[in-house]
Amino acid sequence: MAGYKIENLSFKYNLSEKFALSDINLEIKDGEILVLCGKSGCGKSTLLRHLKSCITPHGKRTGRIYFDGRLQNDVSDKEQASRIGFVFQHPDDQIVTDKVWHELAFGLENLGENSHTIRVRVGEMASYFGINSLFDMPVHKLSGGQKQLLNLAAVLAMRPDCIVLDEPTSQLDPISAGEFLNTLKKINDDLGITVVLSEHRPEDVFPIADRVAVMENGRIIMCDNPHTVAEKTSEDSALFPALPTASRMYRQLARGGTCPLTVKEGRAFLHSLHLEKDSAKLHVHIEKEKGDTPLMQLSECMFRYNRNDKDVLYNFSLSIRGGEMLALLGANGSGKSTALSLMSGVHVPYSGRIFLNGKKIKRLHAEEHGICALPQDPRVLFTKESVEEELQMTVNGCEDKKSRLAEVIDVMELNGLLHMHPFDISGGEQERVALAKVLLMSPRIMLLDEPTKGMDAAFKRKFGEYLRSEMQKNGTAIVIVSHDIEFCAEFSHRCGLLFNGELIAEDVPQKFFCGNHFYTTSANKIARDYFPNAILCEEVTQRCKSALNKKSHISE
Amino acid sequence: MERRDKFSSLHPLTQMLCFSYVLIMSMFVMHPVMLFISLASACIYALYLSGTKKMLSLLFAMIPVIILTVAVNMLFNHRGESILFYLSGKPVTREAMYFGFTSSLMLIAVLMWFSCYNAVMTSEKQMYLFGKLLPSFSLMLTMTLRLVPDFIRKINEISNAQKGFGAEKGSSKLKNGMSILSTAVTCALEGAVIRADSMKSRGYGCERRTQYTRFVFKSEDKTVSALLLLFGAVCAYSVIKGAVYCEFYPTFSVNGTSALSITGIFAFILFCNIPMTLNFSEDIKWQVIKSRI
Repeated sequence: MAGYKIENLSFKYNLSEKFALSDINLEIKDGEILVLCGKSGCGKSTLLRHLKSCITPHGKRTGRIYFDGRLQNDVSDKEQASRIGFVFQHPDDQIVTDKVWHELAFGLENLGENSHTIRVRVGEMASYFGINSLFDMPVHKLSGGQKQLLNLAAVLAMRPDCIVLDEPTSQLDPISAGEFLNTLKKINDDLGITVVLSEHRPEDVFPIADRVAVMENGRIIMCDNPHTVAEKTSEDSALFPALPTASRMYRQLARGGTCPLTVKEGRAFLHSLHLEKDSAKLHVHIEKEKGDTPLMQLSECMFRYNRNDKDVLYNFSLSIRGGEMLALLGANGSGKSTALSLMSGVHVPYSGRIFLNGKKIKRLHAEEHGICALPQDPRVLFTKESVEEELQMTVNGCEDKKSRLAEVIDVMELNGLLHMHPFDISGGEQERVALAKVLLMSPRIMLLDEPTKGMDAAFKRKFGEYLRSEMQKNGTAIVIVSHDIEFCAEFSHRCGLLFNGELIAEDVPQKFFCGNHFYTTSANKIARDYFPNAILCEEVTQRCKSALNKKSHISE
Repeated sequence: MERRDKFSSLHPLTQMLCFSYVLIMSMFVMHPVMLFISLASACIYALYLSGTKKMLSLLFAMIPVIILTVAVNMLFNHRGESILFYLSGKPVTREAMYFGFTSSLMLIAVLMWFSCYNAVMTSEKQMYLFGKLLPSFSLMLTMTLRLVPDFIRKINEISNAQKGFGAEKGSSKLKNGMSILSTAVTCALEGAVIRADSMKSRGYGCERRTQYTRFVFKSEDKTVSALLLLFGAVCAYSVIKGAVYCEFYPTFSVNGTSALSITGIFAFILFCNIPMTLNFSEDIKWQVIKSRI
């Protein structure tokens, strides 16, 4: 009963000339999962915020929104508060109180429920989510994924009929994000709650969605079930590279049948092609540059935050050469970010040695040694009033850097944002501004912590290619810490797996991912039986094509 | 070794009743026997709550307090009849010494009780009690309790990020600190905007807020509160009647031999040791249960 009907909705922010939403017609059925897709800045958040009156942005609006068969304006704030739940993007900022139990109770306190009712509902919610053990914890001790689950639980404790989520997983690593989406699916299955969410990483949400609406420039250009959307998206649209790997394979091979979305469906699809197994051994051509001293080398470094803590990094060794990109992978809490902080000189290992260009260094200094680190939260780098000032400050008035500034602004697609306040732009845009700052520093060693989060797939590729050219041109060494396996597989020269503070495996991407069963790319998971050493979607499709060609030749 | 304190699991009101009474009595009844009882019970309870090591270090830290209070009293307070000796022409009296000693007892007893209070009354309990008095203040307090440490963590994060970014070149420490602070403030304000939306979206301001508490006034709370009230009333009665009274000037005298004063002091002993009595009876109960198993 808690569906929406949106009729001819158009919206314009007060100071803007462009329509943020134009002529939106959308029906959200009761009990379905509707996913909103589109590039960042296409109006997803604006549309979602219209689904709840009290957080609707101010501006000029025309059109009608019906909730549950009634005009939205006729539904009281109290009813909306309890029946429509809203989860925001930043896990941290939307938490109000200091304890987990209190956060769960907050909404119910606002509705004026008595203590007994609240006790029952909160207890029920904690049991359903399995967060009993966290119940007494202060919220700052939770991980990002746990915080976002808490936000969801806090909203669900008010027993909504519909929940709206604005990019809920954009700040989470893929594992927590997957967990979060599974929980959403479970809630939808178990309770029939309508779910509306926006997402910039459609790969994970397509499989759970009932319908997908694609937005572009404030318009809904397509709204259909995910199979059809994956089938119909044009190959040159920005959404195409973001489609699930299985769908992209299917599209590139153009073979008929339904479009697969998951790894499972993708494997079934490949089976249906009746390919022969590729028994070719893996031949990876590695140019060993012996005698070339590594730009930076860490040897048997140990680190912990306090005398009595556990070691965060244990016997950690790594070396990186100029013009090379090293990707560090690993679960949360395996010490990836800490490893970067040792390399940027923020923290000092209590034992172990660090070499730069073969010379032992006692105390690393980022500025002195030409190192530049991108922090996990890009916002902490911003000190100025506008994006332009922010970038100018980094260039520091050097004339010869003018052309570089223009180039970086162009590559990072910041032209339209220059006059905005860095805190007013979206998360993905902030990430890009911070990256531009790092690029403008022209460091010899770049340390990037999760650079691709919040980026859409099309931009990710462009960014990866720019980094590649940067490495070739200037001999920059890059260390990235990332959960984005696809990105690492495509652009890095070597990958390393961190576990419990130790680098337990390190190799070129082909070997690294082919050896792994779980920690590998979707393309590899899909095509493992046929092409065991292909790790990228393009590789798989190319080999499929040539195999199919061969087959048709033989049959002829 | 950390032990589970039975008294801590009672209702905050009962706990507050006990602590406030003991603190008031210790502060306003200048009677060496009463203060000694108060201090001894506080020490035993602190020992149970925080362990020998912590309690002893706290107690040792108070030795200078005793010496200082007694010395200051003897040097600057010249009232009293029994003169011990003259110091540069000023009399140093025995009464002043007694008074100094008693006041230092009071200071230490109050401090010890506060250390117990801190261990027992968690922020959640205090919030509950103050929230009863001022409901909107309590939510504000909860939010502040989270924001202040968050802000400090943020400043740390920003300073580390800027160090790793390597852009400190040429700017002074002060300027750098200012820019860190300004970023932290912007982050906090930005967070506040989202938090406001989140509060609004969860119905803040739609209705009169209720306050959810996890505390239930159980039958054992009733029993303990009744006992506390009884002992407290008996003791207070004897104090008000002047049966528990100590005179320092002109001569030191303690009246503590009448039936009423003995009853009052005895009631105070019982009152102060209720937390420990609860713990002991709990320990015994467990011993019995264990032997049955």
